[in-house]
Amino acid sequence: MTEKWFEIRDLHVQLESGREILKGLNLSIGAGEIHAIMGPNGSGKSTLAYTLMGHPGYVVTGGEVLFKGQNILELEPDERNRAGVFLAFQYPVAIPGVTVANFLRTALNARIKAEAAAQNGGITPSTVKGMPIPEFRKRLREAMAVLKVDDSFAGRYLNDGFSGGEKKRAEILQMAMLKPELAVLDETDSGLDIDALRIVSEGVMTLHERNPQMGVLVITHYQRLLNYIKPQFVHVLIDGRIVESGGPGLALELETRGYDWLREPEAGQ
Amino acid sequence: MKPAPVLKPGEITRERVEAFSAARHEDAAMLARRLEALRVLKDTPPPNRWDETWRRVDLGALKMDALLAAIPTDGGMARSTLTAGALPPGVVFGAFADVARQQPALLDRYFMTEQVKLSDGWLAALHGVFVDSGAVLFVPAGVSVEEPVRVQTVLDGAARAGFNHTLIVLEKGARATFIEEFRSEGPAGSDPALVNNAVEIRVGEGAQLDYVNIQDWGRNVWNFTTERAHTHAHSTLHWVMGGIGARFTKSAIEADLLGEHGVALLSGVYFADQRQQFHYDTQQNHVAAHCKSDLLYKSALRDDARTVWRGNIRVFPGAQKTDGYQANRNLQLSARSRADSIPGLEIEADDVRCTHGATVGQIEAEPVFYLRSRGIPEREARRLVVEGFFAPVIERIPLAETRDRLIEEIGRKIALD
Repeated sequence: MTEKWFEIRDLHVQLESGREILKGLNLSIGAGEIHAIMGPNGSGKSTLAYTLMGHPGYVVTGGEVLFKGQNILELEPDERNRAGVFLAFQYPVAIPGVTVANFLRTALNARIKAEAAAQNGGITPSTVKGMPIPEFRKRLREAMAVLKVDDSFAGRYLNDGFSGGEKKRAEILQMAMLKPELAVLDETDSGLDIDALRIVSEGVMTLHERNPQMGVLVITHYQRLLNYIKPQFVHVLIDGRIVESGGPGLALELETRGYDWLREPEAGQ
Repeated sequence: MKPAPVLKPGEITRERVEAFSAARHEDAAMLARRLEALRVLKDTPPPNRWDETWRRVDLGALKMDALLAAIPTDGGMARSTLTAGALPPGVVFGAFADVARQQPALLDRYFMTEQVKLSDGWLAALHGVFVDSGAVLFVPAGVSVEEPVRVQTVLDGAARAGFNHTLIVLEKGARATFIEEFRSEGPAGSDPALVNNAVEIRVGEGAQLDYVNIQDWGRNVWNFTTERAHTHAHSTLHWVMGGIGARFTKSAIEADLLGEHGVALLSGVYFADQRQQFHYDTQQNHVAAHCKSDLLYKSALRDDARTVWRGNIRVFPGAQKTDGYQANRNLQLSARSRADSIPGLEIEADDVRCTHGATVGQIEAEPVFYLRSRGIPEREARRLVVEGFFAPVIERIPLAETRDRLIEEIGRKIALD
């Protein structure tokens, strides 16, 4: 069996309280594939998203997450991101006083410096200054055009006072700027009206067209997002495990039948 | 029982003051001003622990007698460098000593007569005795000074004293921006230095002043300041204070709204590390009706640092329709640091709106995680969060160079490890 590009193996995760949420989750994604994980509330969808990114509130008690052969669970959150993993949050956090532009430039320069350090024995050479401002502005303007956000967006404090739709656009804008290899979208459709949903989804698909090798993992409760971001593979997460996998048709089936038919039968049935 | 003084006064002789004045080739009028200050000083008790504003101050390591004895007669004190663009006719912008020599009438009229007075207390009187560096800006009625005027006051690392006077007078309808920075240069001496500054600001009727004061003294400096602004009818004062350096700072900062429809916006950022102590006493005095004052002081502190902000809004009888606000936000970056935040209201009019807010908090984990999830290393993520905390205040500084330097200083403090 060839080694998968991205593979989650027997992942067990509990909260700090000790309650186990993920109970042996397995999933693999090939480069360029679009996968969807669907599941009811409380099945562990957001726990999976946060765990992939290394949130300190989630304790991994078993398993591994291999990305191009490396177990990313051993990396710090910022290292995971620089390794190519990006999470679009369901609830993006406000960073008062830090403008979208300042933040994005800091994030891009952190990459440039880390890459330079990797080629220089772990130390960033002092000659590495980061991305020139004109180039940064050009890239930012292009990305903002794809997501149809106003120029003033760049000067606003990140997520501070943003509407639900603006927050989700800001997430995808970051994705466009940081160009991840694997994008994880956690409930990106929540809080979006149909127009915003279309713009955000089209943004994701545009990025995927520009980089067909980018893997996408869409985590969602509802099927409607999958009308726009079309997955080749759909997985059902219930009670901390993938209980069913299939093609795009599975999402439609869930839409009509709900999740109950996939739950483990009660004892005695 | 007489309370023990917080500052021991030391003995300053008339002969010493005469020699101080003679070394500066001053005229009789300036010497007379110093001697009058000395007379008041001798009659003024030093601060004691029964004064509410000195109760929380730990001056255990301060040897005021020795510091006073070390004030040099000739040279060796802080020096001010002034820069300005083209100045319209009638504007006076000069070093304090030059203006004292060339325009004595201006000093007779405004120097320690309206805002900071010798009778304000021991520190103000002491300031009057040894006043030395500093600058005077006088803008006549109806005149606008378009480019900011700047004063950079520098203390050599080994210098022992600075007595800096800032006097800003804007007549009716005048406009100006005044930016001053205080810093030490060269290796800091192991000997402590005493700074005792005064700031006097008069914003005349309908006038507009932006005033920025950034303190970045070396760590051997005990920094005392008395700062007071008067706003007159329909005038606007925007005052930004920055505190970075010095071992110890105690500043009394006051805005008195004397004419109707005056506006005073007081903004502050300060960041204390190691064993630094910053004490700010702010006072917003609404004497006239229909005025607005808005104070926002933001502080970060780490290591064993200590900051104290005591703010008071006082609304005098008859100052109806006052709109007064004060807020102090503290970001505690270490468990050992301590921030005290003490707002106060004294209201003697019945139709006013006065509110205040004070908070002490830590860097939250979620913003740091969010930034890290975008590839930003933890230390840099924390720096961004702290910079962001200060940004709304720093953005109010009207000069990019001063803004950038302040951001850089804050970044340097966060990076200390």
